[in-house]
Amino acid sequence: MSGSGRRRIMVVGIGNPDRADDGAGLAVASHLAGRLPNDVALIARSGDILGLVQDWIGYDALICADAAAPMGQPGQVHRLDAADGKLPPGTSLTSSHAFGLAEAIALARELQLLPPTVTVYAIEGACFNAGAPMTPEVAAAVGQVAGLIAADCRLGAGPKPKSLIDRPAGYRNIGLRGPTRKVGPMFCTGLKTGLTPRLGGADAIFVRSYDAAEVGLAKSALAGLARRGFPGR
Amino acid sequence: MTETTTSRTIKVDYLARVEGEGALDLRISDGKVASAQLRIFEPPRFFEALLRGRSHAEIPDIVARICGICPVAYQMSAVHAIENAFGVTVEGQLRALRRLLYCGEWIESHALHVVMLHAPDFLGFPDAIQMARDHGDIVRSGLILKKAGNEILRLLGGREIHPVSVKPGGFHRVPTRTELRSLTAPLENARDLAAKLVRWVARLPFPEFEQDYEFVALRHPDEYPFNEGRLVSSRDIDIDIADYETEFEERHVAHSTALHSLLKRRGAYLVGPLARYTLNFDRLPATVRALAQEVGLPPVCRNPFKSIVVRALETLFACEEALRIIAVYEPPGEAAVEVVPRAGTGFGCTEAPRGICWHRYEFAADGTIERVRIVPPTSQNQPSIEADLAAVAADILDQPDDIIRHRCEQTIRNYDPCISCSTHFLKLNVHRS
Repeated sequence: MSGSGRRRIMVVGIGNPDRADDGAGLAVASHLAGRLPNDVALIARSGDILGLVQDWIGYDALICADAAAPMGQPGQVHRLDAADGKLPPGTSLTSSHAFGLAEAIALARELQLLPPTVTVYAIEGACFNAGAPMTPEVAAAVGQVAGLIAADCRLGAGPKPKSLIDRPAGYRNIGLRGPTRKVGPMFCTGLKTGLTPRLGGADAIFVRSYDAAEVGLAKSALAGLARRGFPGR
Repeated sequence: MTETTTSRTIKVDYLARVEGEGALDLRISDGKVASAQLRIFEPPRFFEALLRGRSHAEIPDIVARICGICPVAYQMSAVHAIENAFGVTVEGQLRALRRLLYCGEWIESHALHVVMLHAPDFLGFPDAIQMARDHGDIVRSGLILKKAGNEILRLLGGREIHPVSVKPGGFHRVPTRTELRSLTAPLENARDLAAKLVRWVARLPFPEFEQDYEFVALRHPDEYPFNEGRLVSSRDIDIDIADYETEFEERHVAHSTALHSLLKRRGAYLVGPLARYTLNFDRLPATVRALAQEVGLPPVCRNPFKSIVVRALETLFACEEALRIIAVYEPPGEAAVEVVPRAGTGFGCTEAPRGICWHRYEFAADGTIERVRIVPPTSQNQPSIEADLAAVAADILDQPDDIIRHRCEQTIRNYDPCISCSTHFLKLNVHRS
């Protein structure tokens, strides 16, 4: 938290602009320039990933955009919570250096220099050839990820709520109970009434979880939803 | 791994914590090391051919791309060679700024290698991330040191990797005094951390191992070498850098896409921190010499595993040298001296973090490049790496394959090899028969 009581958010776009889809994270950062709240730090890194460990000291939330290794679906966006777990090996992020984002995050975690909340948007690439253009699917995903990050920042940059978490405008409280305790931080769109929601296939569940301590709770709630037969979105 | 009564093979597909990709084949016959081959299989990148037909003005930006860790070394050797060919001398504050830029590269490169890549070997950790659990302060220090070096590159070079401000004759832009002094506080902190790092690495457990290397490095009349000096060795070599090819030659070997550099008269030689330190100990500041003495490192060090101590000492030196340059900095009137092309051949040789980086360029009258030869430090050290591997393995042949594999990898990392530069690394196969 900054002295003003507002969350301090850093957004980092990572990549190599000269290697086709590896430039996706940098393109996201370019897209976001001038579009984020004034108190959100936006940086682009095309070289020394390790230096990021120093850059994000003192921030409450870190949001990263980077390219991911090809897995058959170019442009597929993976939203990963990296605050308390390793980045999935199947989506290992690409880096032409020995230390990539996954290693930088793991190192920061060991050194207790990792912000409480870390979100990684990994855009699956297809082509990483030197000098080649970005593939159309990845280029299309850049705007999508920029929009998601902008939304994250708008929702997360406000004052830290006194309760476990507050409800953003346009969302209704689901009001479910998790396996062991009452779940507060769950909201969903498309609901007409609260308290006993019925989720349809088009409804998106939004779990607002900007503190690492709340991640486990949110996961429990999602598991509870799944057990009750709600769409697992 | 396979093992029979007469043979066994140890295989490591890729060596971690080195820059680039390659492999090692260790062949053991009748209980002795028959051969140790460092196989570098990264494809050639043809930089020398790429440069032909281009303007001399393009060289610094192209050769910087040879390496993401030591781009300054390539830029510095190139601009000195260009200026040598065109009869230009860069002096005063512009020369000092070049040394300052080199300080930045040494600090960031050495800090990365000492803390993040090399130290885990001595303490039994697979990587720096695991090491951070028990040695968090040291890893934090390494990150702070690296950042301090990067800041020099960012300020002077325009960005921390592949700087863009270097040009023949000087820089595209030079910093103001205020800009440069913004580096003072971080560098003072870095200097203190570097001194602590020296004391820490000096206490690591080192194998008892020494080699009778022929050290080769630059030697300058007054300075610990970065950009200039004569080429000297621990035996009888003391030549102008233009005469490099009279004493040294490159040979192609079947198992490596990087050429092997050898002394024509004697074969393998060693460049890099151990060579620089041993041949220039008297050029180090008294503070650095005193710390070397305090931690028990003699003026001549032939144990390659102790290169980690020398790198830490050189990091301290680079911090002190950077602070000295900044303290007396006066912005020069011009960011670069005029460079007028002419036909000729120019030579450049500077001390990259891993050792001498030698360049030769032949120019047409308009400054167009006709021929190029670039000899990076790691290709010069390849024969010595192989000799070390054979000697290190010979002492531990009765050990399990995992022990041999680890010690061989550690031996290679003693060199902080930049395989991407040399063309390129690591897979370890041990064949026993």
